[in-house]
Amino acid sequence: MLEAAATAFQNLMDLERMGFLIAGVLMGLSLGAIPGLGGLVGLAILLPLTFNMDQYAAFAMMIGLTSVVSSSDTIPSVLFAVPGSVASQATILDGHPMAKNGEAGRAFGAAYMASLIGGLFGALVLTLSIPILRPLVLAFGAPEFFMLALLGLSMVAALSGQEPIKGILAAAMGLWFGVIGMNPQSSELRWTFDLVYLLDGVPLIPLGLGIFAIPEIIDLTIKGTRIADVPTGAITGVGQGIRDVFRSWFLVLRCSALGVWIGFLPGLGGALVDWFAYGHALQTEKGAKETFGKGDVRGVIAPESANNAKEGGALIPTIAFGVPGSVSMALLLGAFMIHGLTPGPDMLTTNLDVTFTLIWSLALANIFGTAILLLLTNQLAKLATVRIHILAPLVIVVVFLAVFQSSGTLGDVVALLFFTTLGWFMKRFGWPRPPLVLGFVLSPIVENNLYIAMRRYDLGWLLHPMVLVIGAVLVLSMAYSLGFLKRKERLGGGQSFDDI
Amino acid sequence: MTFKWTAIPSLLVVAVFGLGLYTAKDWTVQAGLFPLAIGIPALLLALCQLVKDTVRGKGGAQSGDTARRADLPVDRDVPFSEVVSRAGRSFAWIFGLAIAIWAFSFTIAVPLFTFLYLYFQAREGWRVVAAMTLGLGVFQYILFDRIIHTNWPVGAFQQWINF
Repeated sequence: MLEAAATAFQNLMDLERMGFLIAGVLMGLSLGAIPGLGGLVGLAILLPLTFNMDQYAAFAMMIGLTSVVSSSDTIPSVLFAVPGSVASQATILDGHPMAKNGEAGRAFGAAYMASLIGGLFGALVLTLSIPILRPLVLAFGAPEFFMLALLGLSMVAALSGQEPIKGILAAAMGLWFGVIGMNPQSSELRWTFDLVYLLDGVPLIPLGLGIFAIPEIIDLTIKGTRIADVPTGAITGVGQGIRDVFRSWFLVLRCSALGVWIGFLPGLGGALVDWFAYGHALQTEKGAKETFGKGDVRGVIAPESANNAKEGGALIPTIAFGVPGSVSMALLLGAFMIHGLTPGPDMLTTNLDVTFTLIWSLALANIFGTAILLLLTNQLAKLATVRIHILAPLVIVVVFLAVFQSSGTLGDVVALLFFTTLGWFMKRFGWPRPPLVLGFVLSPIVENNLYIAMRRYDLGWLLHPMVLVIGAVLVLSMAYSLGFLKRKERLGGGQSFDDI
Repeated sequence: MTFKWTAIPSLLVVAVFGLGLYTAKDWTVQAGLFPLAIGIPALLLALCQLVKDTVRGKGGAQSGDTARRADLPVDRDVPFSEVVSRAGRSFAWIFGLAIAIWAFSFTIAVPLFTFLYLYFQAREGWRVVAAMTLGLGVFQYILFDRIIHTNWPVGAFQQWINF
């Protein structure tokens, strides 16, 4: 294992790969600072651009992007009370009052340092989990992987809020989109409508970009104007915030552990992690009930350490079981397949060096991200003030270029238009989009493992001990997710967004 | 009971699952088991949702209320007529770009779209329009032509004039 870790580190130290990692970090920081364009949109755009890269460079760039969005999303949350991404909603509660009190710099210092420690904690837990997971994963067969895929689909329960039927239907549509093309078992064509383009199935790239990226741009153009007002004055007092984090070191560790755990559980993730940590700090920290919500730095430290730590936690089920811990991990799962990697046993044995590349990238991205944020906060804050009509053509053009790059056919452009229309109408009519993407990504995994399980064991696989255990976890996970959502609504966490 | 326009998406979903199941009825067990296992309960659920959306009064859940589901927030401050008008314009630009790509290929369509959008839709000044168009063109050339070596398709117009 140490050898694989050393090889991965050596591979990542290559100048070109390091450049891609830093490029990913810069993209992630920029996207986090612009409300409405989070890591999920960025990952969807980036994915096709990595096709011709080697695996190490591609994953370094993608992990670099996703792991720092939760760091820079603090900027609009604190300055404008607009969450930069889903995971920074709770930061507003104390971060924005701090800015109003003239302590924006202190809030940023605390948030960046807490994010860094949280991110490194997540990477450490991911590393330590490998020797524990390896024997477990190697003992699994098709029935267990089928059940794990179902566990991933159980995310739908949490992603659908109070509209579970719409969520289930969206997931079912995703599962159906996933079966379009030639059936690998019988070579029959399913819903290809005599189109050559659909023989290999619907590609992930136009679906992901169409469902998420362009509809967000359309909605931002509908809103018009700037995303946020221009901030006033330079930001100072960062050092004090950093010292606050070290004074609250136990809170940082507790919230980081919470973040890893929530990231690990399918269905919770980004939309809830900050509220969970904030609620924990509110309940356990001395005097918090009196000071939280009025500009207490601990109200910034708690969610920020948790939301970066969740990335490491979400990577664990994605790598080990092929079950994405969040929607952005679902896209990463698609990236694994595009780059010829199969999540599961291979990632912990023959491709262990790739797994360690992800871990090193996660750790390094957090370090680079924090350093860049400390230097460039004022400049990144200006991104949130760019007029959307200037931003819109840039994003639209990059999306079109990226989608064509993915397969080199104009069919992808048509598919992009189809999914853009579908995505925008789904959003406007209140149909949750994350379950559709999740269903689509998990569709072949569910179908193939179900087919193999049925062929090999008939219905006997239903009584396999691990199948029963995962089934029980699935039921408990759904109940827990729904229960937590209800508690969160009572707490006042109102909106729940995409898991970015 | 009167039909409400907010039930149209549910009606479309019912139609999609109904038509999908109808076309899948002749598939072999190997090909059809999974889609049918998903589709039959989904159709029943879609019918439930249709009934729910049809009978639900104005006081019921609003169709884009983000508090009720997991998705990015929808801005409800903009009047409906403005939403339709602005969304229509945005879709027209996006479909226009796709048509321009088909007609002239990416090399011409991308700078053309950037220029026209910034000048006519964003109403930016000449300096911004020129700088952005040039910048995006350079970005496209360096990343896609020089680094990734993308093979752009030949546009229908270039084919027509045998260029």
